[in-house]
Amino acid sequence: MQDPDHKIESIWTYLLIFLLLIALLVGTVAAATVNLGRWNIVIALVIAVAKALLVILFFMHVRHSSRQTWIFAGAAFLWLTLLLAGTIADYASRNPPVPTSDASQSPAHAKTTVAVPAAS
Amino acid sequence: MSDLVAHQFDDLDQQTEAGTLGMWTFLATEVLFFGGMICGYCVYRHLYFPAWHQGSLVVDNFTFLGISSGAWNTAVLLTSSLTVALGVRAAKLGQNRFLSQMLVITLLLGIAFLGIKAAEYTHEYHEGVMPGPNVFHPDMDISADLSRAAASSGKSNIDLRREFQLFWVFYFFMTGVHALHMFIGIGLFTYLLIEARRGCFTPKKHAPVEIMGLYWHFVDLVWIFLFPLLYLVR
Repeated sequence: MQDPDHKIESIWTYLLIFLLLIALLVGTVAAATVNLGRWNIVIALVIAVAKALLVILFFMHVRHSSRQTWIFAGAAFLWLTLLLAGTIADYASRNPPVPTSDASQSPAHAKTTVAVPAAS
Repeated sequence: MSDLVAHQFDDLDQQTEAGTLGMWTFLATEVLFFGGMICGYCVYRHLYFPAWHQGSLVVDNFTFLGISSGAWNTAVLLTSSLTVALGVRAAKLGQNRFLSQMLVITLLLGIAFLGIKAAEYTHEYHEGVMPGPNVFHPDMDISADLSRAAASSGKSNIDLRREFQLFWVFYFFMTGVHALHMFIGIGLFTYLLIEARRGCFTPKKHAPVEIMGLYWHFVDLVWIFLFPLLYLVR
């Protein structure tokens, strides 16, 4: 086990991380004012993940934590990734959804209607 | 062996380690708790993008000094995370006065966050977008925007309004559950402040500050994702 005295960061490290976090926040807000199509969400999430990593590694001290803590913290995000990846892979690979309330007027719906064979 | 160490542990390091690991186990369940909501969010954002974009514009439209209240609240929480990190450091070094000061600032920032959130909820209530029996009556500007979004996306007005309502269900649930976590955090930190004032924390016994600090940082972490997801649907 590590000596706990070696885990104390300097105040300047914390201030630097804080300034980076605020800079990333300004970046998020600025990027959202520009219309980049589907890249808007990609940029917003990349910045959010960067902020999350700074908070987890420095503020939550995972950088200096034991291997067990790494596994426990990592497992949470691994399961979350599986949940999101599985669900998104499903919905992203489907055909566009059929509108519900005015479905009878929709040509897309008409094509998928199965004709009921008349009773002989 | 001093009475600082409970009898099931070999030494203080092992005890602190077990406490940290226990908190991370709890946080792992929290990741999946919020993760379930974020997963549902992803599905409906994908299916109902035009309506959700309109909803997000209403959320992001509430500003102080020209900057979205969501961005202000992110800044408030990031600052509170800094003061928590400095407080934990002070507890490890035995700087009790500085620890108390950091805890007070953290509490004030937490209350400021909830105050801004309450102002947002009030604004959204008056805009008529809060879900509930006979409550969902968006004002004329929002209704006009919805009709335009329906026309340009080829959906019926009724469908688009229903999808718009679902955005607000997600918005109020996700931010509401997050706000509940903030209330719990403020309770925990009030306890820490009382204990710190009584001089209960020493460089050897700082684990409670560290472990409750982990919780506070986690609640900040959730907001880091909620802000772009709910306020910036572009």
